[in-house]
Amino acid sequence: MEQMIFNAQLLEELFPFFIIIEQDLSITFAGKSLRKIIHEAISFEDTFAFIRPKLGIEYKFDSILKFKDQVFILQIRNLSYPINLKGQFVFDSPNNRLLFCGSPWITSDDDFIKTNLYISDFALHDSVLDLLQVTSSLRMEYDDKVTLNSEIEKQKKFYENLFDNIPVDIGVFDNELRYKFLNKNSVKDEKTRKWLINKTLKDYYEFRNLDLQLADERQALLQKAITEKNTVRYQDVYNEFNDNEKVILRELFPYEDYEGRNYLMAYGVDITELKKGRDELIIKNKELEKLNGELDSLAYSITHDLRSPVLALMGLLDIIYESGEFGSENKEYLTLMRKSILRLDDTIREILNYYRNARTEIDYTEINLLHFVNQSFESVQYYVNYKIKLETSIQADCPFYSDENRIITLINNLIANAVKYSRENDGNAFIKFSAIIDHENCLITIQDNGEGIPYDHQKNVFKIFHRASSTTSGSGLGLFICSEIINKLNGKILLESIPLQGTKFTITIPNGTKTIEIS
Amino acid sequence: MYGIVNQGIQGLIIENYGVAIWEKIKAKAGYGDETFLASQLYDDSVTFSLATTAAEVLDISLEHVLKAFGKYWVLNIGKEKYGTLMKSGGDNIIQFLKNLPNFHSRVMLIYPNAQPPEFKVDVINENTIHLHYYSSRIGLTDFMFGLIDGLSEFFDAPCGVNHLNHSETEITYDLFEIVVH
Ligand code: HEM
Repeated sequence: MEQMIFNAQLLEELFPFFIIIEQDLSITFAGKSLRKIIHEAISFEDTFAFIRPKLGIEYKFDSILKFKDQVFILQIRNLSYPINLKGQFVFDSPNNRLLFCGSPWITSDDDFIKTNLYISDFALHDSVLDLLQVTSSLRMEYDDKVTLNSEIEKQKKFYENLFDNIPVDIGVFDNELRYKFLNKNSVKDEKTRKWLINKTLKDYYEFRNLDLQLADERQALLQKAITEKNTVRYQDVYNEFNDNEKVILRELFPYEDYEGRNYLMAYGVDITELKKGRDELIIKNKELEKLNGELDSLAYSITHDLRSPVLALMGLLDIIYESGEFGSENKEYLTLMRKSILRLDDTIREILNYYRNARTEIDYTEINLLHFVNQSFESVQYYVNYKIKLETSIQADCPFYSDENRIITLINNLIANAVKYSRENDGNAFIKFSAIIDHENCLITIQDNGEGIPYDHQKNVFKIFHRASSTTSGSGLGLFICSEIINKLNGKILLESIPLQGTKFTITIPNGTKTIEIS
Repeated sequence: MYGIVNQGIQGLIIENYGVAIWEKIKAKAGYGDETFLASQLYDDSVTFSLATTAAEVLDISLEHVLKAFGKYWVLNIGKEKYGTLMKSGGDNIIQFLKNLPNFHSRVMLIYPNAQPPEFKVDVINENTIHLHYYSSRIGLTDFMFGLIDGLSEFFDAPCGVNHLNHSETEITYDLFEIVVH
């Protein structure tokens, strides 16, 4: 090996900045790229300065030899722009000289330009060039980061702006119940808002001199929401009992972000006005209810009390009638009086029925429809002096449960109407009553071939004080009460009528069986 | 290809036609919400659809777009982002081109997922070189013409370019003869 003489030209191909130094530190060879920078390289000390190592080393051959297992940084002296060479010394023992193999250490594009070197001055393997390209890439990546940051900033601004302009308090707590975000509406002052980040609700209460016991209570609510993962709602009242009273409805929503961290989103809406309005409404409503109740009972008792004198009047009239002590012309008056009193009594009874329907709870019992229909028909058929045929059909899968009193009133009214507004029809007048009962409903139809209802009246017949025909007697309350009763029973009533042919009511009433079975 | 390429197209369009047209092209190509990052790898199809959509919207040929892009690449992106390469590659176009293969190899060293093209430079005489271009992609020959045009301008070296060979198999191969006047 030793006899192998190395070829300096080959070496400078690999290390274009290399030098050979003799014992007296004279430079006997410099690589081709180095020669471009230093034209006269005679003495090492005049050409190079130690940068590293520097303090312990001397410009002596032996001294350099002692440091030869270290990386050296040498600065080329007397250049308009200093160039540092990074490299190592190797000892060429057969020739008793030192070789320095290194190349310019450059870390930025700008430095490179200043050296006046070209890429072709470097060996292909030299990693300084790679380093330079890495630096460029890092700068590019840094630019990317700047772009991304400004993009993120833009988005953040957008959402913050959004949150700040919602007229709702928004706050976000982390799972340790420290503020992570507050919008402008929740805390107007920016400094306080910034200060509050990472502080707790209690810190805020302290800061604002608010009731600390209340702070503890609120804190407990926050804790509850986040541990139980449940929405919690409460009201905060500020300046209670004075003109500036403010009521905030707060809602706490626990949520987990995409990385599994738990947060609590709190929002508060100012409901002061709403609440004021609602409170006033509640008070007014109560007053109204009371008033209504009073009126109802007044009306009820008046009507109720009216019946006795009317019945007494009727009785007295009957006594006169039976005594026969009146002139023939008075007889007619008496008959008219009797009719009037009957009508008055009818009206009073209907009004009482109305109030009864409005005031009493539904009382479910088994209903014997047929019985009530017959009873009702019997009591009213004498209204006319011709024969009306009552046909009934009941088809029942099960018993029908409903409110007896209401059903009686309903049937009475409808049958009475059918009779009142019947036509003789050459002795063929009829009323057909049918009922189909199943577990769900009772479907009733009542059909007659009477006068029928004029078309333009049909849509009004269920309204209060509306009379189907102006010629006949009646209070005008009958059908109104029917529809009130059916409403109360959650049913439906349908009217079909053709003038001078007849009328048909179709009624559906839910069968109360179910209610009974359940209760 | 790395996003720096898409940024190049973006720069070219914005500089010549304005931001609104660029936004329109980007949206039409299907990347309306995308912010291109230089050091992020994008599918080649992104670059190709940006180029073809630009041609469509601007009503010019794809050839024209690629050539303009090549020129812009050298004179703007190269100059801005890789100043060292442009200035230290050599003080003439031939010196510079000799560095091109190494430069693109280093691109791959730093970004192992890049597939930069390969080059070989044969010096025929002091004014003439043969530039061999090998690429795993097809359709970028016009881009090469634009790049060479840009270099000629950058080094203030008017040159003639002869397209001596072109083949598209699994790879694209082109041979350019560049004669510096
Ligand atoms: C001066 C700055 C230059 C830079 C920073 C640069 C960098 C790049 C980069 C990053 C790519 C994308 C590779 C990938 O993502 O797969 C690329 C592609 C390419 N470069 Fe360069 N380059 C430069 C100059 C040149 C020049 C002067 C030429 C030709 C004369 C050239 C020819 C090409 C071509 C043709 C492609 C397209 C990809 C392909 O053909 O497969 N580049 N370059």
